[in-house]
Amino acid sequence: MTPAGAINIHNVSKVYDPGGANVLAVDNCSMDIAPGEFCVIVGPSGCGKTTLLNAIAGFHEITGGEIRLDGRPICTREFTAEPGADRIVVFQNGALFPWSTVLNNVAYGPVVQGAASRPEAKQKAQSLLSELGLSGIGGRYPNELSSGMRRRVEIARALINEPKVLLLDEPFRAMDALTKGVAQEFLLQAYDRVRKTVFFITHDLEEAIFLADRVLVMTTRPGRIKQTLHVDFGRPRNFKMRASKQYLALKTQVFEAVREEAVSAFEAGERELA
Amino acid sequence: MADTPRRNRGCPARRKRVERALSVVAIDTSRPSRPAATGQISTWSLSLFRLRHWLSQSSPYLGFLGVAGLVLLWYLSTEFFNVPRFNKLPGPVSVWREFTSASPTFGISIYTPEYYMHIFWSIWRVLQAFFWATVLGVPLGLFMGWKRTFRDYTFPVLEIVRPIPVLAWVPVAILIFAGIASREAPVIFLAFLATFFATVLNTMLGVESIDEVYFRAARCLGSKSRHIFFRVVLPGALPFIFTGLQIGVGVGWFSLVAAEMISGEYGLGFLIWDSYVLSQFPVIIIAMLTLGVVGYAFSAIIRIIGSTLMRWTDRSAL
Repeated sequence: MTPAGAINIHNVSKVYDPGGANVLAVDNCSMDIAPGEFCVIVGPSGCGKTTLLNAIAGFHEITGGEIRLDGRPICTREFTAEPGADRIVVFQNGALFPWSTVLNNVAYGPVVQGAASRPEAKQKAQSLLSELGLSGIGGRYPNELSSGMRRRVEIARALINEPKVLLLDEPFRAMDALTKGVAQEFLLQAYDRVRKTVFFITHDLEEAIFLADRVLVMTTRPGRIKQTLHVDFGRPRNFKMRASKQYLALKTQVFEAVREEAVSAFEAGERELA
Repeated sequence: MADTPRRNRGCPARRKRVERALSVVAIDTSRPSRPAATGQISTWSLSLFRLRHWLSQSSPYLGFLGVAGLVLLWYLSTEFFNVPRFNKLPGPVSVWREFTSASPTFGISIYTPEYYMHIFWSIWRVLQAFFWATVLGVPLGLFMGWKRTFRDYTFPVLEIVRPIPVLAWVPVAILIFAGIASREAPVIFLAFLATFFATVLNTMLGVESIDEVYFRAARCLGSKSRHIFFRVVLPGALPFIFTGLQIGVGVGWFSLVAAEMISGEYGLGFLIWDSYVLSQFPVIIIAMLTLGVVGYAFSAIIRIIGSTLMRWTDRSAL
């Protein structure tokens, strides 16, 4: 049994250096995420949420501190572990390979890792797709699907590898409210099934509370954790909880925490960094 | 059945036709490139429908008028008015007569094997040049686009060599291949050069056009370098590669004809120059028009291969 995916972020800082001007994107940021926890990070644009995610994924180095996955350092000042299938990213604008069919996209991970032969991987992909209610689209190309469907397939493409951590970078950002609701419920169902650690970034406070075990509010740049809110709703969750009093109270609380930061970010008017 | 009103006769057949056309239209608009949908209707009825649709638009007729206008202008300036400077050129009537004559004055018409011999040699040379340009150019372009350091080494060389006109290579080509190969080699080499540069450059740009996010996703999913090469770099660059091949085959024909004029026996370029030297003017026009048709067919074939390989792009929808 593989370890369950605990993330420890300890005093992480990241300085960008665009054109000689040092910009502190993340400053002394620390958080511990328990194995199997659904953790949502909210904060104003440019607060370093994505920087943090990229560091965990292995796309960026950091300039201070340390990130550990199950006790093993994966990102420190000196070294950044290669990206790998133990922490898979679902990207903001989607990254399904447009030249592959849905089935080949989902089967991609097991094939390239050598975990399964091509027919085995395809079979596994097919059964995962039907398990997630996506059967019948295996032969289609991503361009032929709606954005909501594409996002679901991308989540399936990540889950097939049984990653320790799922990193989602505003995956439902560009969707209309209705599609978004359906996509969120899909993610919750998938989460209930696998219970992997989830690191989820969003602007959307509603979404944060609906999905999370814990909401972490980040400050304006330089980003650090300003506030932690526990969401004590049971699982499985459904859209009906969105109307409950408890939910609205929590929403107000998060809104107040974020508003301050949003206002100061707005007034600073700084450019968003990747 | 006997008392079926006259006006309804033949209706079922017509209705079937209309339904078939309508079903194609329905699929056409709702699911532009769903493979299953194209499988449900026969290719024949689909192409028939497309042909009918095409003929119902004005553009084919306007195109025909354009061509007819050009031929008319040619006829008027040469055979009808004998405009000075044009009066030495053969007119459309004499070219057509020569082209369709069973015993042509200058030995080249649709009935003579020599005509097809020239076409065959030119096509054969272009195919060889095209083959080598693809085999060498596509991998080189892929690596140049993919590996920064490799590009830093090779790109300046390419950029210096590329603008040299193909005709400037003629002496070098003859010197390189003198004695070691047949007379074919320098001609093919010149056509190859032009095709090669277009292929390399477009392939490289194709790799550069791939969104960084696909590389990241591939690495996340546990890809090794070879997977990234074969499953991201190559398919991602494919649309540009085919653009490059299409441009490449065009400039390949261009260079081939130039090379055939200088050294060669057989081939359409040779035919044009030979006919000029021997004052067999209608043959020049025949060879020129043949080049136009064959060249067009080549790029059409590449376009078709490209769009069947890339069903996933919007461009090739249905």
